[in-house]
Amino acid sequence: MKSLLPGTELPPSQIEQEFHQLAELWRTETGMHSSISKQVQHPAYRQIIDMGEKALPLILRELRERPAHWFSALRAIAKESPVPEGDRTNFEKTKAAWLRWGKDRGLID
Amino acid sequence: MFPDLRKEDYRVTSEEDRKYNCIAHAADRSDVPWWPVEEGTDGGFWPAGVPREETLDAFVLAYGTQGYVPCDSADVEPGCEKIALYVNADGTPSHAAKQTSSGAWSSKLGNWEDIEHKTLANLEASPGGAAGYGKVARILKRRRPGTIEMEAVKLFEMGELEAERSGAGRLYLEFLRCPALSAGLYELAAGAEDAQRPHAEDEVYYIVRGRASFKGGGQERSVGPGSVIFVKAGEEHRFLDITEDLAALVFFAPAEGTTQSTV
Repeated sequence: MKSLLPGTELPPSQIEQEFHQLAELWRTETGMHSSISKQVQHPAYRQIIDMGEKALPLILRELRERPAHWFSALRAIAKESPVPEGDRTNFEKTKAAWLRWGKDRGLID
Repeated sequence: MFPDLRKEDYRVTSEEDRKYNCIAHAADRSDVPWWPVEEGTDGGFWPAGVPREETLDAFVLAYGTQGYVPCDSADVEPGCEKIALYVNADGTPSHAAKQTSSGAWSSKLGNWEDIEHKTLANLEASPGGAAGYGKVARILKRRRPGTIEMEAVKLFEMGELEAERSGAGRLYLEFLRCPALSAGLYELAAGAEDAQRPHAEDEVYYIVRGRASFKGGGQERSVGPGSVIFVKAGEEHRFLDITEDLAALVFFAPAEGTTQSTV
């Protein structure tokens, strides 16, 4: 994995706009589904993963502001998980671990 | 979205919340989505020991860890709780709804709000296949927690338990559940492989009949009728070299599946 240096700059505005469009599409089209598989296989979710490390700050902010299952995308891009094994079956603890991870790397405030 | 859901058929009972899903909601959990995700997935839960498959059987087993068993009727039964499992046209599970004490149904609509709806048909797809959650494929029920006091004493006969387990076509039959304890009958035929995985609760086995070796905690010992084995939560263990059909009573504390863990 490429290094995620503290102070990574925000992505250009068009990347941010594209991310928000994809995230909104994902929220809308997976809204009624309980299936985590359907959520992570949705084309918009896959496109966000394909955006790579530039999407990390955007995903983390989205996770903080509108919590949803962004964990698979984060893990796919970061190629690691900061979540202690015993916390993985608790949404709030999982979210907190990822947000902490993002702060430690300067990806979010 | 739901062709048979009219305004007068439902009321919204919660805010939108993506921290849990309908499968968790029906199991009275709101801290994480339940889905047969790959083991170790961040932010997802599936009961230990249940196949991680998107099949109706796996979902029935998942609710089995909460004391639910299949039943024939969606009618209200005093002292019982019921869950309805919906499946898509291809047979994959799509939704779970939980019966309320009034006979209505409580559903979390995917990542959206919880609603109370009058009938199960409210969330089914139309015959033409329009939207909805497919159709109801299985009804499950369990004794309502807290009603155990109504039966302060319960008597079980091994012969009846063995017949029920055999009839259910499963290796393990849970026959008792209260918050602090669950108990079941586990049977393995001579020569069979014990594919069980560690549980998140402490366990005690009492061997009723049969002969085998038991491996766990760094030791391997012969066991037979009268053997009592304690296994700490999370500890790898299994029966090996089963030379005579094995029947064991298994006791979990607290009740199996009530401790959320990925062990």
